[in-house]
Amino acid sequence: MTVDGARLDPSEYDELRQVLRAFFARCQPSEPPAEHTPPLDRGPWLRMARELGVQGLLVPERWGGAGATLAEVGLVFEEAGRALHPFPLLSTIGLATPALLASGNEVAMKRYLPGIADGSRVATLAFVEPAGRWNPGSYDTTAVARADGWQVSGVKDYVLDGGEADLVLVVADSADGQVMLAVDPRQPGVRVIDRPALDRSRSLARVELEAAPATLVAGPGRAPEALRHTVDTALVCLAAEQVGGGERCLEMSVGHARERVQFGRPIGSFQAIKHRCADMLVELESGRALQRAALEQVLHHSPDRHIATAMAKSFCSEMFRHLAAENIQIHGAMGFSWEFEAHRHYKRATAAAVLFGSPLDHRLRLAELLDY
Amino acid sequence: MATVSTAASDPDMRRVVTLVEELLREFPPATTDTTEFLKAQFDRGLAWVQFPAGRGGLGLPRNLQVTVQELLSAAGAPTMDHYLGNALGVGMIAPALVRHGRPDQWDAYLRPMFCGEEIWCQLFSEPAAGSDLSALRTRAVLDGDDWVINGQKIWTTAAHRAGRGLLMARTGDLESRHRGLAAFVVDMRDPRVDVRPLRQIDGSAHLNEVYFDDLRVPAADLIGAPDEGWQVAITIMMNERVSIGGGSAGEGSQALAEVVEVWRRREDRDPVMRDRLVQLAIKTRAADLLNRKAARDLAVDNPGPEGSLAKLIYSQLKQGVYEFGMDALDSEALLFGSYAFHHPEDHVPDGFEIQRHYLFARGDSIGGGTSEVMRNVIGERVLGLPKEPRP
Ligand SMILES: Cc1cc2nc3c(=O)[nH]c(=O)nc-3n(C[C@H](O)[C@H](O)[C@H](O)COP(=O)(O)OP(=O)(O)OC[C@H]3O[C@@H](n4cnc5c(N)ncnc54)[C@H](O)[C@@H]3O)c2cc1C
Repeated sequence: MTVDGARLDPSEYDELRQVLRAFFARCQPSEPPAEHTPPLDRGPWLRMARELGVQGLLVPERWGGAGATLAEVGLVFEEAGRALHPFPLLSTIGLATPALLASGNEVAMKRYLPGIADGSRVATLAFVEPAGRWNPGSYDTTAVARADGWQVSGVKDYVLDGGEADLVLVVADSADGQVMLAVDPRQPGVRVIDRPALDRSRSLARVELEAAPATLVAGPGRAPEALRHTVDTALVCLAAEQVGGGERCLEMSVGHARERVQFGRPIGSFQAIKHRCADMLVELESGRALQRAALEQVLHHSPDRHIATAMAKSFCSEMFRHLAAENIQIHGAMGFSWEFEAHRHYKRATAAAVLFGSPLDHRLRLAELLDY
Repeated sequence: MATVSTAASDPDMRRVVTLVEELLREFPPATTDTTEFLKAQFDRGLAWVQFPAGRGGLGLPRNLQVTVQELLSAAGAPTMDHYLGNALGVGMIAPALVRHGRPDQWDAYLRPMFCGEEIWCQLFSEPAAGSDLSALRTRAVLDGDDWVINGQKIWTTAAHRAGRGLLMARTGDLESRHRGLAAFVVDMRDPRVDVRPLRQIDGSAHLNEVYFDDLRVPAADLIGAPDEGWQVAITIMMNERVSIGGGSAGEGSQALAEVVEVWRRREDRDPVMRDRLVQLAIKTRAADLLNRKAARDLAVDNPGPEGSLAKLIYSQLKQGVYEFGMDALDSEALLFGSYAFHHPEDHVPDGFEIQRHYLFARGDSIGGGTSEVMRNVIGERVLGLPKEPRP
């Protein structure tokens, strides 16, 4: 991706933030789902595309998008994280859109991006396999080019929003190296199985491919770099979501600590609670600083960007999980209740820490990158 | 170079950049005496751009000073070393003088302070008044045109080499607590001021006790009103971390670089140690980013309680970094050079710097407000949590 898009003036950020916050609040699902991640309610998803243009932010104008930048997208993820919204944002605009853009494949972009931008197409990227490694050197899924097109076979797992997707981008190995292919999940040879997710606000699927028909998006010359760029972008988006979630947890904790009275005084006047909140703020702001820096580096394609995204993901994962845990503690038994918001953040935080590689995975990579 | 700050409009930025370029052209840092350079920097209003014109400043948004510092350090000008030698004065006391003092006081004190001709110290803490500054007992009694000072201060950084001190003393009765305090400029060379060194954990004497025995301070050296001391103290404490150069100090990065060097000398690559180092590198990056952001956001003259965040983060970070350094030294950590009495400015590196920094880092979470007090400030003043009830 390049920075040719129009970047909003920072003075307009507050307005965008308010609009997003109001929108997410309006279409918040009422009850947390017990059994399944509920199917996507396409109404609000379409409205979000039409009224706010969220899905098309990164999409260039000639394909129906806004031609904005990762900076605006980061804002969307912060707000989505606060709202714990189950929209397939991370899959569609955090993974599939940057993957298509990074492929440089005009035909594929023209074919798929307009549908993403207008909300009619949910898309995802399937790269992880049942072994569950997020940064493998090679894939068991194989692709072969035949006279009548490509065919792909293998099993992908932990595919974000795989059950909702109208388009699955599949990373596979071919005789000539790594490729990225577009697969229509309704075609024969594709089986999508919903996985029971710990975080019910984000659906996961297993995608089984048996000689499934596919279209080439990026060939061996392009696919590995496109994937690296896509993952960097997704890491920044996920870290932004973690910052948003952490912010919400601290806000709830501070609100409760001011109101709740025990032993004749607000619990926030006890240092054991007050100091916890202070430490939460320190962690939150540290995470935000790392996430913003990573965003800028990916946006400007700076040589340090892999270091910056790994730092952001590692730190923000632990930050959000810790803040979500503290939020439960500060609320007492209420924080532990099914009806209350706190456990949903804790589950989101737990799962988000694992997605795209655990904090430790990223630190192991950092040790290499920093030459420690 | 720096991204352009939104608070500073472009013409201001251009003006500052031009002035810095002129300064560097006329006084090439490589061939100019440090004091001469700093005088010239002051006279061009580049000492504290937010100060009034003619008083070391240009009346511009404070965050432009970050740009000045960045340009100067890139050109090898005498900045950080100098400020570290007089950080209390330049970073904390000067903003309080400008905010609470009079123009004649600015003219008397700011230039010699900035040029390093007069080192300043901060005379706040007393044996019975540490975290609770409002309990201080040093008395100031008006006698004709002079205030007469009696009492004792403790833990005073750099008092042994200071020419001036900013003294917090009681003008009201003890029950008046924070309401009955005043701030004075005192001449540390006066024979009625007795400075005695105090040795710290590493044997060095950074800090001092200071006794005042009928010290006469001219009424003209009172800063603000006789009951304005508490406000002066707050201005000083808020400026503590978000001071000049705060934007580019990279305090954490320096500590990290020292221990990375130790780590790279090791033959093995113990995975647990290695992960600890990576975690420290991440936290260091976060701290430096936050600090730089705080300095850039600072368009107004005086910072708010957010500075406590940086203070809390850096003190914990440095302790963690040097603990790692000691662990990386392994058996070498059993050794230490000399605990002999010396003043820090006389210290000669002896190959045991990690050990010394490790020991001294314990003071980082005490001096300038303890970490517990920082958490109270963040909780109450940033997050708006209720205060503790007074007994
Ligand atoms: C390196 C260094 C440099 C210094 N330089 C100067 C200087 O230049 N000028 C100067 O005036 N002073 C200076 N000081 C003194 C410093 O300001 C005080 O040490 C500090 O404010 C704490 O006071 P105290 O040492 O009396 O500890 P106390 O206030 O007695 O604190 C002891 C312990 O109790 C805790 N505590 C106290 N009150 C509370 C509370 N309300 N809630 C929770 N915990 C609490 C503290 O956090 C600490 O852990 C320096 C100190 C150091 C270490």
